[in-house]
Amino acid sequence: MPADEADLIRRARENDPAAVDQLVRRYQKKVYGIAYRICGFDPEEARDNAQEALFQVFRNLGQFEGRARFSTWLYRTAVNTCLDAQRRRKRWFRMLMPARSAKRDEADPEDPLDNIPAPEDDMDPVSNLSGAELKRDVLHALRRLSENQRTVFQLKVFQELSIPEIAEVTGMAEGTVKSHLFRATQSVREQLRDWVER
Amino acid sequence: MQAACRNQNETLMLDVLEELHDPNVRRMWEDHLRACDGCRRERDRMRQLLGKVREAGMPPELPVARADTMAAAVGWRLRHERLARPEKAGRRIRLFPALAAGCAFMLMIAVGYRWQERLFGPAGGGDISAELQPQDLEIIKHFDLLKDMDTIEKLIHIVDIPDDGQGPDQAVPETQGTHGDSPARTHA
Repeated sequence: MPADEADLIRRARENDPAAVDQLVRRYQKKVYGIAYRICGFDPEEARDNAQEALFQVFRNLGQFEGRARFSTWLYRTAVNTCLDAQRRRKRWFRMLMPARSAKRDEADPEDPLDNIPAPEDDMDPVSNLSGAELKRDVLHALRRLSENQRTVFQLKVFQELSIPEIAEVTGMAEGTVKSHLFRATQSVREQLRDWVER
Repeated sequence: MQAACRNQNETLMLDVLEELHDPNVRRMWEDHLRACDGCRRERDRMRQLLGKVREAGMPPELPVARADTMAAAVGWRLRHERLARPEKAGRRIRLFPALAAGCAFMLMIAVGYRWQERLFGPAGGGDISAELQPQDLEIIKHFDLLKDMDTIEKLIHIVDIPDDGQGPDQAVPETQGTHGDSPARTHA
Protein backbone atom coordinates (compact mmCIF):
# COMPACT_ATOMS: atom_id res chain seq x y z
CA MET A 1 0.00 0.00 0.00
CA PRO A 2 1.47 3.41 -0.91
CA ALA A 3 2.46 5.52 2.09
CA ASP A 4 0.13 8.36 1.21
CA GLU A 5 -2.77 5.92 0.88
CA ALA A 6 -2.06 4.42 4.30
CA ASP A 7 -2.02 7.92 5.71
CA LEU A 8 -5.29 8.79 3.96
CA ILE A 9 -6.94 5.64 5.32
CA ARG A 10 -5.73 6.42 8.83
CA ARG A 11 -7.10 9.96 8.57
CA ALA A 12 -10.39 8.74 7.05
CA ARG A 13 -10.78 6.39 10.01
CA GLU A 14 -10.39 9.39 12.28
CA ASN A 15 -13.31 11.01 10.43
CA ASP A 16 -11.22 13.48 8.44
CA PRO A 17 -13.62 14.62 5.64
CA ALA A 18 -10.77 15.73 3.37
CA ALA A 19 -9.17 12.28 3.49
CA VAL A 20 -12.52 10.60 2.78
CA ASP A 21 -13.09 12.96 -0.14
CA GLN A 22 -9.65 12.21 -1.59
CA LEU A 23 -10.13 8.45 -1.31
CA VAL A 24 -13.62 8.63 -2.80
CA ARG A 25 -12.27 10.56 -5.78
CA ARG A 26 -9.37 8.15 -6.18
CA TYR A 27 -11.60 5.06 -6.38
CA GLN A 28 -14.96 6.30 -7.60
CA LYS A 29 -14.33 5.57 -11.29
CA LYS A 30 -13.29 2.00 -10.56
CA VAL A 31 -16.27 1.44 -8.28
CA TYR A 32 -18.53 3.01 -10.90
CA GLY A 33 -17.06 0.62 -13.49
CA ILE A 34 -17.78 -2.39 -11.28
CA ALA A 35 -21.31 -1.17 -10.61
CA TYR A 36 -21.92 -0.46 -14.31
CA ARG A 37 -21.07 -4.04 -15.30
CA ILE A 38 -22.91 -5.67 -12.42
CA CYS A 39 -25.99 -3.50 -13.07
CA GLY A 40 -26.27 -4.70 -16.66
CA PHE A 41 -24.63 -1.65 -18.27
CA ASP A 42 -27.14 0.83 -16.86
CA PRO A 43 -25.27 4.10 -16.14
CA GLU A 44 -27.98 5.61 -13.93
CA GLU A 45 -28.31 2.59 -11.70
CA ALA A 46 -24.55 2.19 -11.69
CA ARG A 47 -24.11 5.73 -10.31
CA ASP A 48 -26.58 5.05 -7.49
CA ASN A 49 -24.97 1.72 -6.64
CA ALA A 50 -21.46 3.15 -6.83
CA GLN A 51 -22.46 5.88 -4.38
CA GLU A 52 -23.99 3.33 -2.02
CA ALA A 53 -20.92 1.09 -2.35
CA LEU A 54 -18.56 3.97 -1.55
CA PHE A 55 -20.68 4.95 1.43
CA GLN A 56 -20.55 1.35 2.70
CA VAL A 57 -16.78 1.24 2.18
CA PHE A 58 -16.12 4.32 4.31
CA ARG A 59 -18.83 3.50 6.82
CA ASN A 60 -17.14 0.15 7.49
CA LEU A 61 -13.60 1.43 7.21
CA GLY A 62 -13.03 0.41 10.83
CA GLN A 63 -13.32 -3.22 9.73
CA PHE A 64 -10.40 -2.88 7.30
CA GLU A 65 -7.52 -4.56 9.11
CA GLY A 66 -4.85 -3.82 6.53
CA ARG A 67 -4.06 -7.48 5.87
CA ALA A 68 -5.27 -7.28 2.26
CA ARG A 69 -4.70 -4.37 -0.09
CA PHE A 70 -7.15 -1.53 0.38
CA SER A 71 -8.23 -1.77 -3.27
CA THR A 72 -9.03 -5.49 -2.85
CA TRP A 73 -11.08 -4.78 0.26
CA LEU A 74 -12.82 -1.92 -1.52
CA TYR A 75 -13.64 -4.10 -4.55
CA ARG A 76 -15.02 -6.75 -2.26
CA THR A 77 -17.36 -4.30 -0.54
CA ALA A 78 -18.34 -2.73 -3.86
CA VAL A 79 -19.08 -6.09 -5.51
CA ASN A 80 -21.14 -7.25 -2.54
CA THR A 81 -23.08 -3.99 -2.32
CA CYS A 82 -23.89 -4.05 -6.04
CA LEU A 83 -24.86 -7.74 -6.01
CA ASP A 84 -27.10 -7.12 -3.00
CA ALA A 85 -28.75 -4.19 -4.77
CA GLN A 86 -29.33 -6.34 -7.86
CA ARG A 87 -30.84 -9.15 -5.82
CA ARG A 88 -33.09 -6.69 -4.00
CA ARG A 89 -34.19 -5.18 -7.27
CA LYS A 90 -35.00 -8.58 -8.75
CA ARG A 91 -36.97 -9.54 -5.65
CA TRP A 92 -39.03 -6.35 -5.82
CA PHE A 93 -39.57 -6.79 -9.53
CA ARG A 94 -40.80 -10.34 -9.02
CA MET A 95 -43.03 -9.31 -6.13
CA LEU A 96 -44.59 -6.28 -7.80
CA MET A 97 -44.91 -7.65 -11.30
CA PRO A 98 -44.98 -11.44 -11.10
CA ALA A 99 -46.66 -11.89 -14.48
CA ARG A 100 -44.25 -9.61 -16.26
CA SER A 101 -41.31 -11.16 -14.49
CA ALA A 102 -42.38 -14.67 -15.54
CA LYS A 103 -42.83 -13.48 -19.12
CA ARG A 104 -39.40 -11.91 -19.03
CA ASP A 105 -37.87 -15.15 -17.75
CA GLU A 106 -39.48 -17.04 -20.60
CA ALA A 107 -38.54 -14.42 -23.18
CA ASP A 108 -36.31 -15.34 -26.04
CA PRO A 109 -32.83 -14.16 -25.11
CA GLU A 110 -32.20 -13.35 -28.72
CA ASP A 111 -35.03 -10.81 -28.82
CA PRO A 112 -33.44 -7.82 -30.63
CA LEU A 113 -35.65 -5.27 -28.90
CA ASP A 114 -34.65 -6.34 -25.45
CA ASN A 115 -32.15 -4.15 -23.62
CA ILE A 116 -30.65 -2.18 -26.45
CA PRO A 117 -28.78 0.58 -24.64
CA ALA A 118 -29.55 4.20 -25.42
CA PRO A 119 -27.43 5.51 -28.31
CA GLU A 120 -24.60 7.78 -27.37
CA ASP A 121 -24.68 11.13 -29.13
CA ASP A 122 -21.01 11.48 -29.99
CA MET A 123 -20.85 8.34 -32.15
CA ASP A 124 -21.63 7.97 -35.84
CA PRO A 125 -24.83 5.97 -36.55
CA VAL A 126 -23.10 2.87 -37.96
CA SER A 127 -20.67 2.43 -35.13
CA ASN A 128 -23.43 3.44 -32.74
CA LEU A 129 -25.66 0.63 -33.98
CA SER A 130 -22.82 -1.84 -34.00
CA GLY A 131 -21.77 -0.80 -30.48
CA ALA A 132 -25.35 -1.14 -29.28
CA GLU A 133 -25.62 -4.60 -30.83
CA LEU A 134 -22.35 -5.66 -29.28
CA LYS A 135 -23.45 -4.38 -25.88
CA ARG A 136 -26.75 -6.18 -26.16
CA ASP A 137 -25.09 -9.47 -27.14
CA VAL A 138 -22.45 -9.22 -24.44
CA LEU A 139 -25.17 -8.46 -21.92
CA HIS A 140 -27.14 -11.51 -23.05
CA ALA A 141 -24.03 -13.67 -22.88
CA LEU A 142 -23.28 -12.43 -19.35
CA ARG A 143 -26.87 -12.96 -18.24
CA ARG A 144 -26.65 -16.60 -19.20
CA LEU A 145 -23.89 -17.12 -16.64
CA SER A 146 -24.51 -17.98 -13.03
CA GLU A 147 -23.99 -15.14 -10.55
CA ASN A 148 -20.63 -16.55 -9.41
CA GLN A 149 -19.42 -17.14 -12.96
CA ARG A 150 -20.47 -13.64 -13.98
CA THR A 151 -18.79 -11.97 -11.01
CA VAL A 152 -15.54 -13.87 -11.52
CA PHE A 153 -15.55 -13.22 -15.27
CA GLN A 154 -16.23 -9.51 -14.82
CA LEU A 155 -13.51 -9.09 -12.24
CA LYS A 156 -11.04 -10.84 -14.53
CA VAL A 157 -11.95 -9.29 -17.86
CA PHE A 158 -12.98 -5.78 -16.84
CA GLN A 159 -11.08 -5.14 -13.63
CA GLU A 160 -8.09 -7.25 -14.76
CA LEU A 161 -7.64 -8.83 -11.35
CA SER A 162 -5.54 -11.98 -11.05
CA ILE A 163 -7.06 -15.30 -9.93
CA PRO A 164 -5.68 -14.97 -6.34
CA GLU A 165 -7.05 -11.41 -6.15
CA ILE A 166 -10.47 -12.55 -7.38
CA ALA A 167 -10.40 -15.32 -4.78
CA GLU A 168 -9.70 -12.70 -2.13
CA VAL A 169 -12.43 -10.36 -3.34
CA THR A 170 -15.11 -13.04 -3.70
CA GLY A 171 -14.04 -15.23 -0.79
CA MET A 172 -13.88 -18.30 -3.06
CA ALA A 173 -11.04 -20.82 -3.30
CA GLU A 174 -8.60 -20.22 -6.17
CA GLY A 175 -9.57 -23.55 -7.77
CA THR A 176 -13.23 -22.54 -7.69
CA VAL A 177 -12.41 -19.17 -9.25
CA LYS A 178 -10.47 -20.90 -12.01
CA SER A 179 -13.27 -23.32 -12.68
CA HIS A 180 -15.90 -20.53 -12.81
CA LEU A 181 -13.64 -18.46 -15.02
CA PHE A 182 -13.09 -21.27 -17.54
CA ARG A 183 -16.78 -22.13 -17.73
CA ALA A 184 -17.75 -18.48 -18.05
CA THR A 185 -15.17 -17.83 -20.80
CA GLN A 186 -16.29 -20.89 -22.75
CA SER A 187 -19.94 -19.91 -22.42
CA VAL A 188 -19.29 -16.31 -23.51
CA ARG A 189 -17.19 -17.55 -26.42
CA GLU A 190 -20.07 -19.79 -27.49
CA GLN A 191 -22.62 -16.98 -27.18
CA LEU A 192 -20.53 -14.45 -29.05
CA ARG A 193 -19.36 -16.80 -31.76
CA ASP A 194 -20.73 -14.54 -34.51
CA TRP A 195 -18.75 -11.56 -33.29
CA VAL A 196 -15.50 -13.53 -33.38
CA GLU A 197 -16.07 -14.88 -36.88
CA ARG A 198 -16.77 -11.41 -38.33
CA MET B 1 -9.33 -25.68 -41.17
CA GLN B 2 -7.56 -27.35 -38.26
CA ALA B 3 -9.42 -27.18 -34.88
CA ALA B 4 -7.77 -26.35 -31.56
CA CYS B 5 -6.39 -29.28 -29.60
CA ARG B 6 -8.77 -30.36 -26.82
CA ASN B 7 -5.92 -31.37 -24.51
CA GLN B 8 -4.54 -27.81 -24.70
CA ASN B 9 -7.82 -26.18 -23.75
CA GLU B 10 -6.82 -25.23 -20.19
CA THR B 11 -3.46 -23.82 -21.25
CA LEU B 12 -5.17 -21.86 -24.01
CA MET B 13 -7.61 -20.35 -21.50
CA LEU B 14 -4.83 -19.51 -19.06
CA ASP B 15 -2.90 -17.84 -21.86
CA VAL B 16 -5.76 -15.64 -23.08
CA LEU B 17 -6.67 -14.74 -19.49
CA GLU B 18 -3.01 -13.86 -18.83
CA GLU B 19 -2.72 -16.43 -16.07
CA LEU B 20 -0.04 -18.65 -17.61
CA HIS B 21 2.75 -17.95 -15.13
CA ASP B 22 4.67 -21.24 -15.06
CA PRO B 23 7.71 -20.66 -17.37
CA ASN B 24 8.02 -24.36 -18.33
CA VAL B 25 4.37 -24.64 -19.30
CA ARG B 26 4.61 -21.36 -21.20
CA ARG B 27 7.62 -22.54 -23.18
CA MET B 28 5.93 -25.82 -24.07
CA TRP B 29 2.78 -23.95 -25.06
CA GLU B 30 4.67 -21.57 -27.31
CA ASP B 31 6.42 -24.51 -28.96
CA HIS B 32 3.02 -26.09 -29.50
CA LEU B 33 1.61 -22.88 -30.94
CA ARG B 34 4.39 -22.70 -33.51
CA ALA B 35 3.41 -26.14 -34.73
CA CYS B 36 -0.40 -26.00 -34.32
CA ASP B 37 -2.33 -23.70 -36.60
CA GLY B 38 -5.69 -24.55 -34.96
CA CYS B 39 -4.58 -23.54 -31.45
CA ARG B 40 -2.93 -20.37 -32.75
CA ARG B 41 -6.12 -19.37 -34.55
CA GLU B 42 -8.26 -20.16 -31.51
CA ARG B 43 -6.02 -18.09 -29.26
CA ASP B 44 -6.34 -15.11 -31.63
CA ARG B 45 -10.12 -15.54 -31.73
CA MET B 46 -10.33 -15.67 -27.96
CA ARG B 47 -8.20 -12.57 -27.60
CA GLN B 48 -10.38 -10.78 -30.10
CA LEU B 49 -13.49 -11.91 -28.27
CA LEU B 50 -12.28 -10.68 -24.88
CA GLY B 51 -11.34 -7.39 -26.54
CA LYS B 52 -14.91 -7.06 -27.82
CA VAL B 53 -16.34 -7.89 -24.40
CA ARG B 54 -14.09 -5.24 -22.80
CA GLU B 55 -15.18 -2.73 -25.40
CA ALA B 56 -18.86 -3.44 -24.74
CA GLY B 57 -18.45 -3.26 -20.97
CA MET B 58 -16.64 0.07 -21.02
CA PRO B 59 -18.78 2.45 -18.93
CA PRO B 60 -19.55 5.92 -20.25
CA GLU B 61 -17.36 8.62 -18.78
CA LEU B 62 -18.51 9.75 -15.36
CA PRO B 63 -19.14 13.50 -15.79
CA VAL B 64 -17.15 15.73 -13.43
CA ALA B 65 -20.31 17.25 -11.99
CA ARG B 66 -21.68 13.78 -11.23
CA ALA B 67 -18.41 12.70 -9.68
CA ASP B 68 -18.46 15.80 -7.46
CA THR B 69 -22.05 15.14 -6.45
CA MET B 70 -21.23 11.54 -5.63
CA ALA B 71 -18.24 12.48 -3.48
CA ALA B 72 -20.26 15.17 -1.70
CA ALA B 73 -23.17 12.79 -1.11
CA VAL B 74 -20.91 10.12 0.37
CA GLY B 75 -19.27 12.70 2.67
CA TRP B 76 -22.64 14.11 3.73
CA ARG B 77 -24.08 10.67 4.51
CA LEU B 78 -20.98 9.72 6.50
CA ARG B 79 -21.14 12.92 8.57
CA HIS B 80 -24.83 12.37 9.36
CA GLU B 81 -24.24 8.73 10.13
CA ARG B 82 -21.46 9.63 12.55
CA LEU B 83 -23.58 12.27 14.21
CA ALA B 84 -26.39 9.77 14.66
CA ARG B 85 -24.15 6.90 15.70
CA PRO B 86 -23.46 7.77 19.40
CA GLU B 87 -27.17 7.88 20.09
CA LYS B 88 -27.67 4.57 18.34
CA ALA B 89 -24.74 3.02 20.18
CA GLY B 90 -26.18 4.26 23.47
CA ARG B 91 -29.52 2.77 22.59
CA ARG B 92 -27.85 -0.51 21.75
CA ILE B 93 -25.92 -0.54 25.03
CA ARG B 94 -29.11 0.11 27.01
CA LEU B 95 -31.09 -2.38 24.99
CA PHE B 96 -28.75 -5.25 25.70
CA PRO B 97 -28.97 -5.20 29.52
CA ALA B 98 -32.71 -4.69 29.25
CA LEU B 99 -32.98 -7.81 27.11
CA ALA B 100 -30.70 -9.72 29.48
CA ALA B 101 -32.74 -8.64 32.49
CA GLY B 102 -35.94 -9.64 30.72
CA CYS B 103 -34.53 -13.07 29.91
CA ALA B 104 -33.33 -13.53 33.51
CA PHE B 105 -36.77 -12.54 34.81
CA MET B 106 -38.52 -15.00 32.51
CA LEU B 107 -36.06 -17.71 33.57
CA MET B 108 -36.72 -16.97 37.23
CA ILE B 109 -40.47 -17.23 36.68
CA ALA B 110 -40.09 -20.52 34.84
CA VAL B 111 -37.77 -21.98 37.48
CA GLY B 112 -39.98 -20.68 40.30
CA TYR B 113 -43.05 -22.23 38.72
CA ARG B 114 -41.31 -25.59 38.39
CA TRP B 115 -40.13 -25.49 42.02
CA GLN B 116 -43.52 -24.38 43.28
CA GLU B 117 -45.03 -27.40 41.52
CA ARG B 118 -42.49 -29.71 43.06
CA LEU B 119 -42.82 -28.30 46.58
CA PHE B 120 -46.54 -27.69 46.82
CA GLY B 121 -47.93 -29.93 44.11
CA PRO B 122 -49.61 -28.81 40.87
CA ALA B 123 -51.52 -25.54 41.07
CA GLY B 124 -55.34 -25.95 41.28
CA GLY B 125 -55.08 -29.72 41.55
CA GLY B 126 -55.24 -29.97 45.40
CA ASP B 127 -58.14 -31.36 47.47
CA ILE B 128 -60.25 -28.38 48.60
CA SER B 129 -62.35 -30.44 50.98
CA ALA B 130 -59.30 -31.03 53.16
CA GLU B 131 -58.97 -27.30 53.76
CA LEU B 132 -62.66 -26.72 54.69
CA GLN B 133 -64.10 -26.72 58.20
CA PRO B 134 -66.46 -29.68 58.98
CA GLN B 135 -69.20 -27.10 59.64
CA ASP B 136 -68.88 -25.67 56.12
CA LEU B 137 -68.88 -29.14 54.67
CA GLU B 138 -72.13 -29.86 56.45
CA ILE B 139 -73.69 -26.74 54.84
CA ILE B 140 -72.54 -27.77 51.40
CA LYS B 141 -73.82 -31.29 51.94
CA HIS B 142 -77.29 -30.10 52.90
CA PHE B 143 -77.41 -27.19 50.51
CA ASP B 144 -80.56 -28.42 48.69
CA LEU B 145 -82.37 -28.86 51.97
CA LEU B 146 -81.42 -25.36 53.05
CA LYS B 147 -82.72 -23.98 49.77
CA ASP B 148 -86.05 -25.77 50.33
CA MET B 149 -86.23 -24.36 53.84
CA ASP B 150 -85.67 -20.90 52.50
CA THR B 151 -88.56 -21.35 50.03
CA ILE B 152 -90.87 -22.54 52.83
CA GLU B 153 -89.86 -19.56 54.92
CA LYS B 154 -90.79 -17.18 52.07
CA LEU B 155 -94.19 -18.91 51.65
CA ILE B 156 -94.94 -18.53 55.36
CA HIS B 157 -93.97 -14.91 55.12
CA ILE B 158 -96.46 -14.32 52.29
CA VAL B 159 -99.33 -16.36 53.82
CA ASP B 160 -98.88 -14.92 57.30
CA ILE B 161 -100.04 -11.38 56.45
CA PRO B 162 -101.87 -9.85 59.43
CA ASP B 163 -105.62 -9.05 58.99
CA ASP B 164 -105.30 -5.42 60.17
CA GLY B 165 -103.76 -4.50 56.79
CA GLN B 166 -100.22 -4.20 58.03
CA GLY B 167 -97.67 -5.10 55.40
CA PRO B 168 -95.78 -8.34 55.42
CA ASP B 169 -92.60 -6.44 56.10
CA GLN B 170 -93.76 -5.78 59.59
CA ALA B 171 -94.47 -9.43 60.24
CA VAL B 172 -91.56 -11.52 61.32
CA PRO B 173 -91.51 -15.09 60.06
CA GLU B 174 -91.84 -17.77 62.67
CA THR B 175 -88.75 -19.51 61.53
CA GLN B 176 -86.75 -16.57 62.87
CA GLY B 177 -86.86 -17.98 66.31
CA THR B 178 -84.14 -15.73 67.60
CA HIS B 179 -86.55 -12.79 67.54
CA GLY B 180 -89.15 -14.56 69.63
CA ASP B 181 -89.48 -11.73 72.11
CA SER B 182 -90.12 -8.95 69.62
CA PRO B 183 -93.43 -7.02 69.73
CA ALA B 184 -94.32 -7.97 66.10
CA ARG B 185 -94.24 -11.68 66.95
CA THR B 186 -96.45 -11.13 69.98
CA HIS B 187 -98.98 -9.34 67.74
CA ALA B 188 -99.11 -12.18 65.20
